[in-house]
Amino acid sequence: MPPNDKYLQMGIRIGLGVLGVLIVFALWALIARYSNWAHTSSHFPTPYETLMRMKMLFISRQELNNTSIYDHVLTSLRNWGIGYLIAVIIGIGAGALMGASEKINQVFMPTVQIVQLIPGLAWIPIALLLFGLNERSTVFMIAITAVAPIAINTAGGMKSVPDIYRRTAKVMGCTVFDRFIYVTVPASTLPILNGLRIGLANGWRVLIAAEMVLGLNKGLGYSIIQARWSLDYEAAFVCIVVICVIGLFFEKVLFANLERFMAKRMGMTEGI
Amino acid sequence: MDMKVKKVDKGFPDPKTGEFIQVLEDVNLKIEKGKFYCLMGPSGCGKSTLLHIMAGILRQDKGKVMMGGKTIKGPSPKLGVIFQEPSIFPWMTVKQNVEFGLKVAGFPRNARSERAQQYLNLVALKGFDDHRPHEISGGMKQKVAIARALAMDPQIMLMDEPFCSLDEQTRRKLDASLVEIHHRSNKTTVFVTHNIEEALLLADEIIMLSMRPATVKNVIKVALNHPRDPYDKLFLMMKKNIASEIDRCCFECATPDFPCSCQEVNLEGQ
Repeated sequence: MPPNDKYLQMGIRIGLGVLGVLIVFALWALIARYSNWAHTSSHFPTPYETLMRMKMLFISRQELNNTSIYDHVLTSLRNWGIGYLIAVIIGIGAGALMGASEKINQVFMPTVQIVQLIPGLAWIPIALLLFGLNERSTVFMIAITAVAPIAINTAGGMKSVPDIYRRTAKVMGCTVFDRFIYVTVPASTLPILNGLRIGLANGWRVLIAAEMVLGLNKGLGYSIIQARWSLDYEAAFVCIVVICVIGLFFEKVLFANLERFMAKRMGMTEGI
Repeated sequence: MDMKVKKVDKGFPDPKTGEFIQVLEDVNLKIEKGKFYCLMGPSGCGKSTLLHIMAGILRQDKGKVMMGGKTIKGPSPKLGVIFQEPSIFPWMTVKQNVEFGLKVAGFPRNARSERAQQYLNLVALKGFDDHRPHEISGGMKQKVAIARALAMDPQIMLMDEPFCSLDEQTRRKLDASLVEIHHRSNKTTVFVTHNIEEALLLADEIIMLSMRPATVKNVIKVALNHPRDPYDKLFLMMKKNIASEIDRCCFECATPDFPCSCQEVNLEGQ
């Protein structure tokens, strides 16, 4: 294919994506206008107003609930990071054990699957009982919702390593340790990455919800729910946009590229 | 090194019915140093099972497998094994694959690189060092697997239908290069195949197994000079004889109380 064709196609793809976003913005503007005409009691922020508020919060550094927006974002990111790190360590460790031994798998897999079925917010009473009303509760909720998909995918990935690679490692004189490092881990990288991505998204969603409910004076979720009392709906919309952008960045930029790179590295596809 | 299979029995429970199936019964073999053997027999007779037992991957129920006077108890770097399925690791380059066994055995980097290079040259894959398995053909993948096994400098090569999933032309080419590789490395080789032409192209001796429960029916010496011509008169005659022998053997052995005559016929190529 000639190079300009490739660029043309990429241009069309990006153009269509932008068109989709513009349609959403247009609908948003329409709905805002209708809502403001129908109920005069509260003001529905338009895209333009949201953008202006965003400028005020980010560039003029106006405070939101007595804290800068950067602080809200950083607090959310920090809780997310700590909770996720705990989930990764426990999830990969437990998943590797379950992947290595069928007996361990049979003991723990039903529990892990049940944990995965519990909606994130249902952990709130348990979090409160264990840690009280503070950030450790938020971290706990992120960890517990992220850990199950990581463990399940790690275990599944390790179990699905084709038997031929295991046999080959054996006849090449590998010890159990060699086999784990040189064969099992690379052969199950992609399912593990998939679990890590699902865990990260789960954690992000529950983080916002937990901040809303636990309300600890900081964080994006807290700021959204505060808008109910302060009637600062523009700020709530700004927070939603920030949440979308952060989520998109991790999912589409970081993980998508990491997965593509690893798929190529692991020889599963030709890569791009 | 030579290898002896002594009175080996092996059976499995049928995965569906749970009924015990005797696969190998009283198998005796003598593998001499430096020779190329082909293991043939009707499909499903237990050729691969026997090879896996020789490789130490499966345990026999009864009997012994000896290599150079020592009993084989498990997989060993002294036994190079090539499987039917492509077994090279897709996450490593061609050269990393060939180096793998040496790395595990603790060879220093330079030594293993040099040796990998040497064996890649031997299988005519010079210049493909940095290719990844998905970038090369199925035939080349099996050649990498052969180079990887040879790089470990095994005493005996055990190959389980390594070319059976490849197309006819590729298979012939690889058979020819395998003859060349065997000629140069002089490794004792046991090669499982169900393809009569392939066996006749490669083998010094063809070991014929019977139907299940398999036992050694006959050992045919192939006294043709390399390179062998598959359209040569003698070659074609031997091919025909073996084919009819396999057909007859299958029929007779599958019929109870019918005396099997496989061993009575002299199939030697002189």
